[in-house]
Parts: sequence; structure tokens; C-alpha cells
Amino acid sequence: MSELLSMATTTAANLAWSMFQSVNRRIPDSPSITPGWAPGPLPKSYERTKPPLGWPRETDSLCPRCVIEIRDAIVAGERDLSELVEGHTGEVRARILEENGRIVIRKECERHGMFEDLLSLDPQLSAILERRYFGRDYRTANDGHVHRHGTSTIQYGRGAVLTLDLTNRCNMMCDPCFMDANQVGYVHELTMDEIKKILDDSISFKPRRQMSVQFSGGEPTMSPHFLDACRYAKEIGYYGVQAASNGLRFALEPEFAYQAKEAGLDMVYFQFDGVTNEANQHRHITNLFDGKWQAIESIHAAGLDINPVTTVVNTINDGQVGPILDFVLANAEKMGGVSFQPVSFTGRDEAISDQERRQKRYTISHLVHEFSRYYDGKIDPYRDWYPLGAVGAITWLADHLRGPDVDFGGLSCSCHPNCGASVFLMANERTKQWAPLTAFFNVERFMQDIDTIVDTSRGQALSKVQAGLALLRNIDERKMPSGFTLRKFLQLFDRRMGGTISGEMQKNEWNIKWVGGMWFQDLWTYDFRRTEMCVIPYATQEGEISFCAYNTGVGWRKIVEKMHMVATTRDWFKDKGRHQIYAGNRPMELRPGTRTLPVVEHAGVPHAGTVQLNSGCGCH
Amino acid sequence: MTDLSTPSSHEAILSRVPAFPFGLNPEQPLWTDRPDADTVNRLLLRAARFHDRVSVFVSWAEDPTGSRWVNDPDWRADRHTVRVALVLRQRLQVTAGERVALWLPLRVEWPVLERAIWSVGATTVPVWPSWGLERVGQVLRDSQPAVLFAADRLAVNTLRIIGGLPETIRAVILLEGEAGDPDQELPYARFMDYGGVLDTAERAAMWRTMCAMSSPDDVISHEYEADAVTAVTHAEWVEALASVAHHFKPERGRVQIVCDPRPSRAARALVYSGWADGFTQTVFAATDAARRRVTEFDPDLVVGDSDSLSMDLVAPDKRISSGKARVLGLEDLHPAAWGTTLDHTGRRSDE
Repeated sequence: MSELLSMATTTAANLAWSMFQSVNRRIPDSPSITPGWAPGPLPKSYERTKPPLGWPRETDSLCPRCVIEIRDAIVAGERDLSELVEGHTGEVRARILEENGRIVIRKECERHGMFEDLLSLDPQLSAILERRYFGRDYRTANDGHVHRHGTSTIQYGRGAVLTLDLTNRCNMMCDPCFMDANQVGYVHELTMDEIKKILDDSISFKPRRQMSVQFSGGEPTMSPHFLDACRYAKEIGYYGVQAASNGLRFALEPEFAYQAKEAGLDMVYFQFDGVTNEANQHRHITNLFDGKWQAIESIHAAGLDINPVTTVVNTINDGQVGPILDFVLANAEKMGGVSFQPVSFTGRDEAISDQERRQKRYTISHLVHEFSRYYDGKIDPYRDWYPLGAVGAITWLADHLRGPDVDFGGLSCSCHPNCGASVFLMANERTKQWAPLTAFFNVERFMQDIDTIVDTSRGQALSKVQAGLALLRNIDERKMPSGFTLRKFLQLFDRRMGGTISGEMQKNEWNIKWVGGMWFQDLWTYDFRRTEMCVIPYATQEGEISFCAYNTGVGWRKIVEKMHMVATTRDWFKDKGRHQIYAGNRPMELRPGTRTLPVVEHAGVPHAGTVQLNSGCGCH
Repeated sequence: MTDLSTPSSHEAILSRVPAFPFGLNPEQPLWTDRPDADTVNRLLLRAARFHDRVSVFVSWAEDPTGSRWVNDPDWRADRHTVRVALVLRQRLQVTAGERVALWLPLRVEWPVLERAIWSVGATTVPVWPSWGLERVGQVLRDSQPAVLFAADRLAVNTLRIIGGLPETIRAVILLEGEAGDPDQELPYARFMDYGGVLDTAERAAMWRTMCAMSSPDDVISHEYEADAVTAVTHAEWVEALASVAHHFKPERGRVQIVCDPRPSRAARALVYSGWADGFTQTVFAATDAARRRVTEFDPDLVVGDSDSLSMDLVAPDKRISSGKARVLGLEDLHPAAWGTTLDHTGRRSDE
């Protein structure tokens, strides 16, 4: 009976949509609204731009050897920073092409010869991801005070997550570390005034962004300004406040989680490498997973969301990908999703041999196929994965429905389709049932329907009607996991849009879990077309710099931190004393207590060999 | 007979099949921009991605915890195919041109195994369980398979004792029960476990690429005729599927029940056609226990031989007895002869 009702609903919605569009298409498109936060009218689908996609194609890249030489020379004061801003130092042309069933990037430097690396081992998947890309966001305007980094300058988009390193100090000593925390010989730590200025600057130009800020490091909770920074970010209108943390402080001081919540922290982007102590051994704390456990409980008890983040290295911890998602789903009420970051060879790993790099290279296509393997195909490579930027479709719809009188544009992740991909899982936080959203919802057609709604711009009321019809006609209730209904789905969708349709935020036990793969570039895979539309910029005293340009690529991090260091490590320790560092392959002292979280036992024991993960701290 | 050796002739056939809603017609790509879906492997690869049904295969499982219908969704059937193919290729070193014998009644493993064998470029040799041991031995000696999949361990052992297993067989995979000699026999569960280990992102992607590049000539089965001597090589599976699609139009929610245990070419074509169309659910009901419960479905098509379609088994289904579902016999092996319609008592309508 319910199946009949479902079919009747879908059929009726389809019919109503067709009837509506038969009239709608005959009327010229209405002009788009121009919200106060935007530099111009909301673009229609035919006005949105895309970077060059497909293959073979050419792009601008970097010579992995030249860049290191030039960067070292600038840091040493032998060459001027203006060379980097005004010139094309270290740049080479690269070709992206399909070869032997793989996508590779190949480039040649006159001095250092040929370089080649793998971008995807499944061209079909890559083609699908590029096809599903929704288009770029606005071009930025009047942003010269924050975006001024030569060819690495961000040119598009309002950004999604602004990363702000509060300190390079850390309470762990991973080897290697993404930023060589504790080991670079100097301390780079922001004052509260600097933090305020950076946060103010980031929302001072158009598109005025409804973006999240992520305090990072080092370990951001070690900054004396961490709580004040959370408070200030919330005050001036940041949509979400996150901390990229290893979680130790939350484990050791549960009350700190409550203080952070009170200050405005929303979510902890939680460094997480595996579901056993063995899988975390490369962090040199023998009971680190037990500590993580206590941190999760403290963070959740304080009402903060948790998003684990894992760097994945082929042949090292690629086998942990499935068990980690199992863990997240088993603790679905505590975690909003999980982020997997295929390794990017930066920092000390820039000296990696070609053979080792090929062996450890892990791409988004690896991740996609690994999930298909682990779940016996339940998460399908071609049906379920969308580029990270596809979520931009929902943002455009929400911006359109909200109308012109809002201060901030919606949170928009419109990064390059090669930057990453994600799958949305519909999970029941009580029963732990789950299924990919795309198993019962035709996302691709829904995105086309959004284009129709936004392009024709028929006013808020009619647009809401169309949005409702588009939702109903693209859903197949027969394929939903048992217990999940159309009504619950509509509630959930509305909640995700901030209650835009119904005007209220209704909760139910079903929730969307985001499973993302974010692949940061390194010197071998570098593509300037990706950098210029970065949505996770690093905010520094020297402006906002693309994540990859800051941490890898040109490597602005070393330059900026050296320019603005506050003391040598030795002087800092002498003046302020040493901070506690948990390392040396010893256990950390944890609170007594029993584990209450469900743990997913997995037969596959994590690799016991030397584990070298690139992301040292809780940062990306 | 239409020449199937060139892609253009496939396209010509396929373009004449309006019943297929997607994929088969190169002008109507389903989910990929590649317009060259003209081999069985590619068709099935596409269909496996379509996911427009709760399950592609339904089979009856006799289980200590309770017998029940088991659903195999597209995604699981697809993944299992990858694993079978990987074990055949990586562990058993089956190469293009070699033969793999399947000594099984028509059951849920058939489509997965046969598709995997085709995907590594090997040739299938169907061996019917109803044949006597002497005939089975004769077929195996003649076809010289590299691997044998079998359901009946006792029969395999008996055949081995009487010298009916050729030395070319590198492994026997037993679908039921425990294996004897671990060097020569492998239970199916362990076989699939090996597949899980081999199933890395790199290998799965390589396998898909291989499938997409497969030529029509890779899809071959040696069908032994009644004299058990003549091997007939068929490269016309695409035509068979098109023919089935022409006879039985695929529609959303379509259910077909296969009661015939014989792995005839016609029966398999029907199963693969259902898999490839993206809509049809195929219920395997070759055993008595399963046939007794097929009335739980609302079938659009019931196929089998006269014995399996006796009135006792199918008549209680109102849909069948009222004539809403078609009941077909599969006595004729060639799909071109499929017009034979049985009434609900299992008799030919033209008799």
C-alpha cells in the first residue's frame, strides 16, 4: 500500500513538474536577484563558468625541484619574495592525459627533466565526477588586501572553510608532521589582535561569505587565545567554528570541551588514524586510541559535533578506511561525517624517491574503489560519488530561496572537481541502519531541476513549490532503507537548508553523514587551475592563501611563518617554560573509566610496520 | 544468420530493439558518455550500475537459521563478479582462450561465474547436472578446462576415481560442502575470500577497464549438443539478449521466475537479459522447495520445462492461472525459436 502511495506521489509530482515547466519554459527567464552580500546577480546556469576539464588537457604546474630551491633561497634571504608574487618561478606546463586505463599528469622541466604521477586509476569515474561538477562560484572582487599571492592567488569563490593556524606548538611529536610542529626551531603564534584582524579581513569583501572558520595549528587548543578566538568568530558572523585538533586536551580536561562549546565552538575536526592503538602507533603514544575514545566522549558530552579526519597512504593504512567508516556509523549520533585525505607528499616527504612515491600514492579513485570493495559494492563508485563542488547546487538554491535581504551568502564548496569527492549516507543514529542517499534519490536530475528553478527565477513562493516538486519527483521511496520515509526525508532536507522551506528545523533520528575524500596537491600533482578556486584558504598575516599553495606547492607556510615568528623555540621555552609533549612511545595518563562507545571489531589487523602519515596534527 | 563479427552489425541489431530503455541503443547512453556498449560484458557492466531495482537475483536459501528468499542487489552481484574474475586471473592464472567448466544447475551463482569467466577472456563450458557421469567425463576430456566449478562433491569425487577429470584442471571449486584435497579443491566461500583479498582499488579498476575493452569475440561458450562430442562456439550472446528483449519487454518491477534447473543457453540468455535490462528481477526456483514458494511473487514470466512447470507448482498463482503472467517452455535451445508458449498446465499452446 505504502509502495503504491509512494509511486502515486512520485508520479503526481512528476506530472505537476512537467505541467509547471510546460508553462514556465515558454516565459522568458526573470532576472536573478542581487543579494546584498554578492558582487552581482545570482548567476544562472549558463553564466556559471567551469575550469578546463576532460583530457588530454594542458595546465600550469610546478617543477618539484625548482620550487624547493627557490623557496629555500627566499627563506634564507638570498632571493626576494617579490619574485614569487610577480613572476612565474618554478612553473612549468603540464599535460593531463589518459594512458593505459589511468589518468596521469606529466611535465618536463628544462633543468630537472620529466616528472609524472598518477591522478586517477579509473578514467570513467573521473569523467563522471567532472561531469557532475556544478560550476564555479563568483569571481572575487575588491579583495586585493587578502588575495595577493601572484599566480597562487585565489580568484574564485566565497570559500567554505577558512583555516587559521593559531600556533605551531603542539602537544604531540609525530614524525613526520605536516608542519614540523615543535621541530622547526621557532614559534609562530598569533596574538588576539592579529586573530581579530584576520577574521575581520576575511569577511570584508564580496562575495561576503557564510563560511566556517577552522582553528588549526600545531594544536590550536594550546593557544591561550583559543576560546576568545572561537567567541570572536561567532560574534562577527562566522557560520561555524571548528577546531582541527588531536583531541588530547579534550580527553585530559573534559571541562575544556564545555568551555569551548560555551565560547562558540561547533565542531572538532578530529585527527583519527585507525580504530586500534596499533593503528595509531606512528603517533608515538602507545594508548592513543584509548585517549581518542575519551576525547570523543568528552566532546560529545559537551554537545560538540565530531568529524574524524584521516590521511590515507597506500600500502600503509589504506586498510583502515573501511573500519574507520564502520566506527563512524556505529557512533553515528556523535559524528557528522568523516574526511579521508589521500596523502600529499609535503614537508620532509618532498624528498621522497620516485619508487616510494608511486608505492604510497593514494588517489580519490583508490578511496572510491576501496569503499566499494569493503562494503561489497553497497557504496557504488559511479552512482554514489559526487565532486565536493556539487554541493554548490544546494547553496545556489538556498541563496535563491532566501532572497536578497540576507547578510551572508550560503556556505559554498565549489572547488575544482579534481580536489575531492564525497558520498552522502543516510544513517539512523539509533538503529545504525544506513544507505547511500543516491540509492534512492536521483541527485543528478535534482541538480538539473535546481538549474531550472534558479534560471527561471519565479520568485520565492513559486520557487519553493518547484523545489518541493523536484524533491518529490526524484525520490524513490521503495529503495529507502526500512524505517525511513518520505516525510522524514523532506524534514531532513529542509533542516540541511537551514529550514528555508518550512521555516523551522525539525529533527528526527535519521541524519546525513558526509563521507569525503579531499585530495590536497603536492609538487608532483600540482595544478594551478585548482589553486585559483580553492575554498579552504589559509588566513595569515600575509593574506589568504590557497591551502595547497600554503602547505605544498610554492610552500608559503615556511615563508610566512619565518616572516612572523615570535621567538626561537629555545627562547620561547626559556621565557615561558616547556609545554607537555606526549611522545616517546609511552602511554599518556588517562582518566580511569570504562569504554562506552561501540567499537567496530575488525578482523584485519592494521599494518604493523613503520607508519608515516603526512598529516601530523589535527590540521588538514 | 547475421554476421556478428563486426561492431556495426551489433549496432544494427541493437538499434532494432526499441524495447530496451537504455544502453543497448548507442544513441541512448545510460550513465556513461561512451557510446560503444555492444558486448555482453559492457551491457552487464552498465546494468550493474543502473540500480533501478531492489535486487537483480532472488534465490531460495536453505539455512539452519531459517530458509528464506535471499536478495542479491546489483551492487553485490557486480562486486562478486569482480572477485571471481580476480581469483581466476590472479590466483588460478586463467588466461584468455582457456576454458572453465561449470557443472551446476541453473542457480544464482551461474550469471556471476559466467560473466567473470568471460571478463578474463576465458570460455565457458556448461555441463548439465542431468547428464550421466560418463557423458560429463567425455565433455570434460574433450573441452580440457583449466578450472571446474561444481555443485556436487560426491559426483566430482566419483568422476575423479573413474578417471573422468582431465589433468588440465588446475582447481575444482565446490559450491557446496567442504573441499577434500586443499591443493586441488576449494570451497566457494574460501574462493570468494581470496577474491576479497585481491580486490584492491587498482585491480578492480583494471578489471573494469578490461571489461570495457572486451570484444564480442571474448564472449564465448562451448555448448555441447546431444551427442556430447560436437562443441559449438557461440559469439552471438548480444544477439541472444536482443532477441530476448524483443520477446519480453523490460519494464520497471518486472519479475521472471526460472524453474528450469538446466543451464541451457536459452535459459541463461533470459537471465542475462534480465540482468542487463536494469529492471528485471530474476527468481531462481529450480529446486522443489523454491518452486513451492514462487507464489509469493507476482511474476510476469515463468519459464521452465514441462516437468518443472507442472500444474501443482504454478497453478495456485492467480496471476499465472489468470493468464496475466506468461508461462514459457525452454525446450528449444535457440532463442530464435522462443515463441513457444505453454498454458498454465505446462502444455504447449500449439499442441
